[in-house]
Amino acid sequence: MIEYYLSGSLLRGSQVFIDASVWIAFGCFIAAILRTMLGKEKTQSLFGNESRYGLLIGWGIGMLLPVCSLGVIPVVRELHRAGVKQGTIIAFGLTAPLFNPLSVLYGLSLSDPLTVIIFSAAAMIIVTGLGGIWGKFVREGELDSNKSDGKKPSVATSGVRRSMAVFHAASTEMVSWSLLFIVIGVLASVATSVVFQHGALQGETEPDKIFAPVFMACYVTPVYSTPLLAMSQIGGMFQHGNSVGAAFSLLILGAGVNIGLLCWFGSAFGIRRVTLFLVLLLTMTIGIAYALDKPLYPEGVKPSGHTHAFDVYTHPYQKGETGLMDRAITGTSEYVEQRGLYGVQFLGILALVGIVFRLIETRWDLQNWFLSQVQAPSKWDIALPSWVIGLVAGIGLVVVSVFGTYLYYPEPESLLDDFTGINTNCVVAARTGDWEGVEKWVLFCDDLSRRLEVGVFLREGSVSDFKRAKAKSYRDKLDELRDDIAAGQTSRTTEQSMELLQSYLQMSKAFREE
Amino acid sequence: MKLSKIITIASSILLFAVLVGCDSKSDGGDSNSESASHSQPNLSLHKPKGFLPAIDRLAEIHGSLVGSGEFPAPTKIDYVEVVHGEGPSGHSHYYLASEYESGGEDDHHDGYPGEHHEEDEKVKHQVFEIAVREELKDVVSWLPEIAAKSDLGESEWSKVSEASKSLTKVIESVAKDATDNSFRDAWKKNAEDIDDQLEKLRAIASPLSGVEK
Repeated sequence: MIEYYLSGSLLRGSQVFIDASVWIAFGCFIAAILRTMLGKEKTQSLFGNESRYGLLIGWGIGMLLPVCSLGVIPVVRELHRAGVKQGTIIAFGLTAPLFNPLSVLYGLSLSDPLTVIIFSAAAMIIVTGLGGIWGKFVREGELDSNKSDGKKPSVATSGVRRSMAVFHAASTEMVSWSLLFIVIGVLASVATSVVFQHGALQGETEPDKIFAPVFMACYVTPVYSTPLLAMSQIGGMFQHGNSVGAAFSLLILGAGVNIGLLCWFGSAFGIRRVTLFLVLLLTMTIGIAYALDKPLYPEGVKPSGHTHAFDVYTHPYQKGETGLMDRAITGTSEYVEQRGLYGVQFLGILALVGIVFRLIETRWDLQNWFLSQVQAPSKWDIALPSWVIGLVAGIGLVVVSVFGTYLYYPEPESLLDDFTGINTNCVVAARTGDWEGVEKWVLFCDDLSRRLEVGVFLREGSVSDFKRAKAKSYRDKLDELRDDIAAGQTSRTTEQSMELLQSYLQMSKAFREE
Repeated sequence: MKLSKIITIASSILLFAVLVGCDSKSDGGDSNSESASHSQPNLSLHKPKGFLPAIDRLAEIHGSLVGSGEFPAPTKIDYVEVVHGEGPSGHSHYYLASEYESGGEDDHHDGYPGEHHEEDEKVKHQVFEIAVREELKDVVSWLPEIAAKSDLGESEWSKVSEASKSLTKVIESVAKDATDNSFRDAWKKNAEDIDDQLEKLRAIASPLSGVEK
């Protein structure tokens, strides 16, 4: 039994950490830029402290910055430290993990665009509504705005030291209290996953389940999900005819919050207020989920009776199986192979440097040294104020995320080159009776077929109905193969593998031809 | 801040939303209730296995609607429901009875990946019943999807999609609650157009003869 829980925790914990690492690193750098380049006044001004549109500004900036619900923790801590209005912090803290350029594009290409627009608008209503209620009922003066960090932020002046100041702030943020809340978020997500048996959610989101939106809301609140994963699951839910209300709950509470973020809200604003906040968030989300459930249900889609989309939020293995720890180690290394270790390595280096800075700071005040000295400019230098650099850096992050979008969703020709090999692996696994191989390759193939569509959407602004139909047809074949094998219906596997190959060739031809 | 007041309002909104949700569920998802005497899941067991069989089935229904005989009886399909798990997390898989392979006593799911263990499994043999009007509507709406599984090129596929939209318009021109006879009358009025559409579909599908199973 101990092996059952340990192996599940190892695999699910590794997956969460690998998925979140790059977003956490982004979050640390965004916080560092706000602190050392914009400073308190400019940050307050950027987030509309003096304006009536602060909530909308928080929502808008949140839509653009690439962070997840763990990566947003350093940013909201910095906003709190800078004295940004709490309502705005809440609006930003909930929106930033929901949407970013990658996930919105993914959603636009996989679901009906109108659905994504309505989901975005509904999310805006929730976050601005919550922020508005907070602003009305909570007086800012009641709270200690600098509770989380005693150091007063200062703005870097110029030169190399300014860049060093940003790196210093980002790396030390990684080994600050933010880390504790991030760890809490990861642990809560892992614990929730391993408590539920593998496949326990397969029947929970069918449209005939009246309480699907409520169940989904309660289940995914502690679970961590990246914006991209949530958006891909939502796309899949529409294609498989699952409950639309449950899809909305998944987006707002799965991608939007986690226990770590809620704990930070609790530590910053007080437990009582956060309880109220959570009740309101759940109420508004579930209320809107039910309101959208019927009107947005896709026409002509017959529910399949179950879905594998949420298996990643449950225990990866069955009770009673043997060799689970070995399988978890293999599963982790395969996940690393699939996703790469770049984010983890980058985060690790950041944390290491942060520890070194912290050790040095026990004897010398590095922060002061970075920020207080002004370099004498040479005649070739153009002195730019820090807030300009900060804004450029912020916009640069958005540009980088857009650039990353193009890399993640390559041109069809380029993606299909890799896709062909992976599809062949899937076909071979099915023909040779390698069932675990099929289960693994089907997930790869499914993901690539969706990225294929997004790649076209990104470059051409739309995907033809023909291409969509071919991609869906291919995914139907993948689903059929996986479901039949999982249910022990293997007499048609060889035939199905050939149909899969045929379907792949048709899809490939459709996407290669302009 | 009146915490209790806000929580009360929030809870009331939630309760209202859940009640509205319950109502919406009872309205939706029962497209087969007209045809089935008992509650049955909204399945797609009547989806034709290929583009040619889909056209054949449409032609068959069309023939029986424009003919002078009785209004066609609902289609009955034998199927197997395999229920995995129990309680709220239980879920079902559905198979045509002709395609379902029942496992042996000992080796049913051994060695297969995933979540299904024999001890959690119940197999039920059932009959799926669907009214012809409902079947017609579904098959017409599935035409583009079914055609996408064939070797048709984009231009031919687009024609299939157009034909599907055109036939859907005919079906939707009759109110859902109209009697079978009114539906039949409306269908007969459009018989020529429908013949043309079926002819076009047959012409598009003809190169697939012998290729498609």
